[in-house]
Amino acid sequence: MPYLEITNVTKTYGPVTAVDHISFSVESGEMFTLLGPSGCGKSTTLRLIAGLEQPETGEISARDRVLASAEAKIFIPPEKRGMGMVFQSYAVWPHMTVFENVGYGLKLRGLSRAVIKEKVSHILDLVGLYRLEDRPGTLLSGGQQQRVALARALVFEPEILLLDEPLSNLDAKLREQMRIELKALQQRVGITTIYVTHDQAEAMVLSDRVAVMNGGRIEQLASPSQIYENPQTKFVVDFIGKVNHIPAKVLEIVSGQCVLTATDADQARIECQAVDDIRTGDSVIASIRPQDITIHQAASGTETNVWRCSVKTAAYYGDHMEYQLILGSQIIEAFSSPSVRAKPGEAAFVQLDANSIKLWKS
Amino acid sequence: MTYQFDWSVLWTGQSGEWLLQGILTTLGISTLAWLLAAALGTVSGALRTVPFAPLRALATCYVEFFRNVPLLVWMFFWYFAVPPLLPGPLQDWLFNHGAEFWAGMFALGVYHGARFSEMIRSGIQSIPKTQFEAALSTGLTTAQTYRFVIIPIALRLIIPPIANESLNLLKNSSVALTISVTELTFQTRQIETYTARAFEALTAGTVIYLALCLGIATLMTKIERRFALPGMIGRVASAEH
Ligand SMILES: Nc1ncnc2c1ncn2[C@@H]1O[C@H](COP(=O)(O)OP(=O)(O)O)[C@@H](O)[C@H]1O
Ligand SMILES: [Mg+2]
Repeated sequence: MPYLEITNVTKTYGPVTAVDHISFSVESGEMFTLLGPSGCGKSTTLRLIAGLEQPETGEISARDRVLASAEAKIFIPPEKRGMGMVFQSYAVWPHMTVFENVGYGLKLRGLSRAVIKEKVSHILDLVGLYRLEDRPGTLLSGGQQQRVALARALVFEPEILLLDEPLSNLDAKLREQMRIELKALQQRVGITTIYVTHDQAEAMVLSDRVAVMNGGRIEQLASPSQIYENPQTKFVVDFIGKVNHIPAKVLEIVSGQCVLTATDADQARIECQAVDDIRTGDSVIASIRPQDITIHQAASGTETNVWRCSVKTAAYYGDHMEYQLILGSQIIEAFSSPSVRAKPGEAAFVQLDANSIKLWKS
Repeated sequence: MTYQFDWSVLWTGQSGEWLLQGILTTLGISTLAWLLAAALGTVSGALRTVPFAPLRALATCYVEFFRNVPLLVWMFFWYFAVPPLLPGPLQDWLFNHGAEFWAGMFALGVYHGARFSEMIRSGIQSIPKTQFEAALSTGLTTAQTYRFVIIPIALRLIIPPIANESLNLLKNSSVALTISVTELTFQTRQIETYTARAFEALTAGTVIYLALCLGIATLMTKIERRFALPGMIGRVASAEH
């Protein structure tokens, strides 16, 4: 049974449709991520769930309790939704200490001093802030503020945790560490979490399911591996990782196999799996990720999808190499193991993995 | 022509007593008016930012009404126009208990309250919206959010302009002399009339105002040091924090 259900929700700001008839549901205990470029409506979706914005169409409900409904004119205010939220800017209250920041909500709920102390200490331990209780809110590093914000959101045991780009203000190293800690924390607490990010690596590592958003709509909703291996739209392919787009023309389609010529790459041949709506003679885009291309320094016989290119750039990353290669006017990016060491200006052979090529109509 | 200074006029006869009483009255009327202004300013300044239009409109009316009429007119209004509207026994009580003092205090309080209000409003509006939203999503009601998060932060942000306005309030208390409140300026004029020593009397007044203002300014600086939010108004955290 879905824990949180968003049905056909829209929110506009003047001429801008920030969220456009969006629907999805989140399961209990799930880590659900809204992923997309800046301005695609992720934060607005989260704010609608939190009750910081009112939907103009549609309905939001949690465990069969309607939180907001444009049609039924229902709106439960944020403080009655039992959700914890962490903002990108953390919004730590500067006039309070760490302890007060985390415990204030409990105090106003009338809990006894002893209970508050116990709960706050417990949660500060959990987020790794122990012994910083008395530090003023203004004297915290970015990582510490992030932990305070998280503790403040978790301390009253909310049913749903909403995180709006909580790691994007941290430096790269801390971000990776917090990513792992956050995932471990979410699993330990078992709390249903909606996570917003524009960082696809973050989404991949953290999420049970990812909704890729674009222009206020969901392009694809699936597990991270499904999103990565089986992107359903060209936008998703582009957004998730690097990709080569190769313009081509369909020569023939024979028993599920499709033969193309790459228009910008000296009419080089591509063989790949056919897709339903593509016919002989169509102009298409064949897309393939750099890691699905292998590089050889010598020709290896009669294999298909092998092109002779010249090396434009070669960059050494220690654990792998990144190449840019040229054939005609087509630039191809490819990653390889460091054992392949072609130099700029040399010839090299690239092999496109037929099963990894995706076709889109152009 | 040479003027013979005679500073002894300030402590001979009743002068000393008058000056002392003037200082106490000035401090009394200013303190009470300040408290009234702070209360009115905080409430109306906060109301001007709430997500509920009728309350915002009410607060705006208060501010524009009191801010845009000269203080002197308010003094006359509270002293001459308001008492006759009150029930008889209250009128009698008032005129036996320094009606001019209370009228002056009200005039000063509501006038400066309107000016405080503007500062508090701009203080609140300079707080990032997420501070507010973080409080709501932590389960605080809108009223609690204002009371415990927004207003405390805003007050800390606006200590410097509030300090300045408090000095204006003290200085403006001299306008109450027009409705015969026996405050400091009133008393220096009285000494001048009795002794015909204008220079000595007015110098005394000037020096006392200066001392009071410097005292308040020093106090405000102390308060600012104590409550400043490092990073939010550009003041670096002091070592004792
Ligand atoms: N309060 C607002 N007023 C006007 N436009 C807004 C407001 N909030 C968001 N928008 C617009 O709505 C769109 C989606 O914004 P947002 O949900 O913040 O995107 P994201 O979080 O994905 O970067 C953007 O075009 C943004 O400019
Ligand atoms: Mg955002």
